[in-house]
Amino acid sequence: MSILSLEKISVAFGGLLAVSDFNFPMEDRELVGLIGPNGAGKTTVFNVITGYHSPLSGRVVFAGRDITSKSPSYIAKLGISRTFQNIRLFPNLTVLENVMIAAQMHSHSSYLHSLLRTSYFYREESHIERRAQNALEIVGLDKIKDEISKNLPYGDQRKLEIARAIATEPALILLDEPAAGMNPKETEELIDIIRILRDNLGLTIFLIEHDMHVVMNICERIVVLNYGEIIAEGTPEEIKTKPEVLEAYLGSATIG
Amino acid sequence: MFDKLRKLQYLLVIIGIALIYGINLLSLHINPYYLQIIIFSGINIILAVSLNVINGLCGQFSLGHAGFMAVGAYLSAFLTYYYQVPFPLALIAGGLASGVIGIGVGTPTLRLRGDYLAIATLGMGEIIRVILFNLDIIGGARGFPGISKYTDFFWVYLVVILVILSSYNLLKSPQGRAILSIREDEIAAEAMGVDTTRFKIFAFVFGAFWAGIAGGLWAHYLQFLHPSSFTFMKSVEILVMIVIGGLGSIGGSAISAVFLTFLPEALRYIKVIFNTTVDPRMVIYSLLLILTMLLRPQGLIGGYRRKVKNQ
Amino acid sequence: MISEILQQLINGIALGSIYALIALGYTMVYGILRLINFAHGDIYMVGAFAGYFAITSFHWGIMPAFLFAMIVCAILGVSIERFAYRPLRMAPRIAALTTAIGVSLLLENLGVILWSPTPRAFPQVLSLKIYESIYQRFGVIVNNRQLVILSVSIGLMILLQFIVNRTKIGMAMRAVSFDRETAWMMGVNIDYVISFTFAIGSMLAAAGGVLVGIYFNRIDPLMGVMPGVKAFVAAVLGGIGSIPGAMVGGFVLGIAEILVSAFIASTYRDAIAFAILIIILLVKPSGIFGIITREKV
Repeated sequence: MSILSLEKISVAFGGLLAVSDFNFPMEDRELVGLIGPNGAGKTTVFNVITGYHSPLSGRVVFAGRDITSKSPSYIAKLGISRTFQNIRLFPNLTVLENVMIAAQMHSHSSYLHSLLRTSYFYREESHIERRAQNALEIVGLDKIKDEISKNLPYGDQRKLEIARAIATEPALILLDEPAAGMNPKETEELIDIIRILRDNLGLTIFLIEHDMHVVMNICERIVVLNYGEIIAEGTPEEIKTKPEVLEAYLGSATIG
Repeated sequence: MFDKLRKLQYLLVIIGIALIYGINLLSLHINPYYLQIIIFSGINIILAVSLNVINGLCGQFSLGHAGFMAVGAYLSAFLTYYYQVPFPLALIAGGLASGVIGIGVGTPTLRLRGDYLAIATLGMGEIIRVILFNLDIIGGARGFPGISKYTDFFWVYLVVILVILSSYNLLKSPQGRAILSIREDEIAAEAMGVDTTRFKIFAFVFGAFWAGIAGGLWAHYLQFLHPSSFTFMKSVEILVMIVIGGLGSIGGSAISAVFLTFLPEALRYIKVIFNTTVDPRMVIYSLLLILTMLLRPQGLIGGYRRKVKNQ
Repeated sequence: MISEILQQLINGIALGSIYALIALGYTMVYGILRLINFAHGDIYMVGAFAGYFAITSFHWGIMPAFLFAMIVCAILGVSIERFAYRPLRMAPRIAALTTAIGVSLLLENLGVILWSPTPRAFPQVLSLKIYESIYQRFGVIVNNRQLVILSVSIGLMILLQFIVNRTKIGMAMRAVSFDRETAWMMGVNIDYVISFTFAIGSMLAAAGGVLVGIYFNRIDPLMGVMPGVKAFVAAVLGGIGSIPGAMVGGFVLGIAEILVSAFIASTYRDAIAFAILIIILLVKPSGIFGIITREKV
């Protein structure tokens, strides 16, 4: 059974159809890439999955549940996590605090516990902190856990977003252009991190990316989007040679 | 190790209570003028710290705090005056009523941001005031006189201890982090499982509750209530305190509240020295506000940032 | 009964045009800076006092008084922007809002110190003339002051529309309100455009202040507080950032306020503005003419 299934999703912004008839099943532990020119509707698809936008029609089904139009926090609690195209950290909080907010999602300690400082509260706090530390270790940021996140260099900020996303212990993680703006060394580190996420943590990964080196290297399956429609689908090898894909990226004048 | 932390907190609270009880016994010997300033300082601390949770920690620009204060003031006064309800119960009832109003203010404004939110809360504060102005049973335009003087140093500073404790324990907790995340980036917070609706309302209720209790303390000190005490100006006064103290800083809000309660009195002396009839206090007040924003927007005392990991 | 309603409608339209004049300043500044200029209502107050002093101290006529008030307020508005708001252009909104509150308080309290809080009577430059013929026909009292308010307000609004829609500077204003950064990259002098916007908005508020002096006859340093907030509500009602919206919002609010005050209860007069505000913010925050802008996720 697919872990995620997008069925006939269409999205409209005012009168403009941003995504049309998007059908897409995803299996557990798959590593799928979503590519396409700018403005093709990729982030819109992510936004529909994660509840930031309601589709005009269609359903989103996750682990057997219809999650169409549910709130983002509800969907996060069900096990879908994400990063953002334009980095959205909690700028004035430290690296560790950023991740702890995600790590505390499954904690059940209430305000009453916090107020009275019960043993349960303290136990939960150390659990939360430990989960956060683990996530930071995976991306290699544990050494700078007390840095204010807005002061971090760009590449580390992107890594921090990933650490935060995995700290919620999701089943599915959506990465929106994680390699954007990274230098070659950072990009290699990113590829390793993503592999660890899938191999060691057992995550299913859905990835939007423009950096073809990343896409071709790690994705098992690729979906190509243009003007809101899927124009091609298949393995990296298959996609590379498809004329529709080349045309979408380079324009028809270069073909033939 | 954690047992020690908790015991330390409890110990500090007990010492604090004993201390203020003792000071209260001595308060009879303090010059009533100074005592009054000290009591008003305490009430302002409660107002500032509670507003700070809404504005500073949660990032929701609320300009209607005077409305919450008014609800607590009038309800507690009503209960003690007409029904001889014991003072602590009346205070709590006032706080709870304000808390409910806090839900009423926080819920419709959930989708509003920044300036819109500010104006909406301002409007709601004014509507509360106008409604109270039109209720004859609590005096309306003539005011509500004859309230018993139950408020003293002990009660005010007991609540001060409680509000600072509850705010601090909130800040350094998962709920506090969630609230901060809303301030930092609401969209990202949602993606990380933070139910922003729930926590925004929580922040409003928390702030409103304590403001209501502050109102009750105020009513039973002044012994007279009039809706004109709870205008937008009052909300602005409290806002000034938390801005100067540093948004998000509990200590900063408290210190700034005391400072800004003493300042007008200190300026009174300037008036005497220069032998003028004009009252420059508000002018200095507003200049202080402008200059702080221009030169040190993170506040004169505390800072914008706050460590939230539990220590 | 009809004549009663008609009468109040006329009063409402007069009041509404004042709100519209002030609301225009709010909406233009918000459109261009995303800032609620809390001090705007107090600029209106300064305009009233400038007109007052022009007439009583300089012994000028009504037209020079108007011009004087408008120029004084234009300078005041531009200065406020230059010294209090410009440094905070990149700062979080809460900082700019707080400063605006500070400027507002400063103006009010300087006014109280300089001019005493006691209301003053505005000199009767326009002798009251009631149009008997209209009273005979329709049973409503229309006086020349109301006509002056209406004609001056509408005249200024038409002038504003012309400036915004048919001049280069107007185009620049619209560009900056859409996308400041792109306009800057296209060579628009942002500082100049913003200053110009403040100048025009302040001039309109000043005109409103003088008109209020003529119509209601009394001015005081705190006269800008309530009208300021209400004019802001009017701007939000019409769609903040929209110039036609501010005009429509102003008239709607003025009429609503007078009707509620006359036919329901005068003590709820101020509350009606806030009630409208809450309803609008809950139902359609972008207002009548506004456009909903979506934050990009």
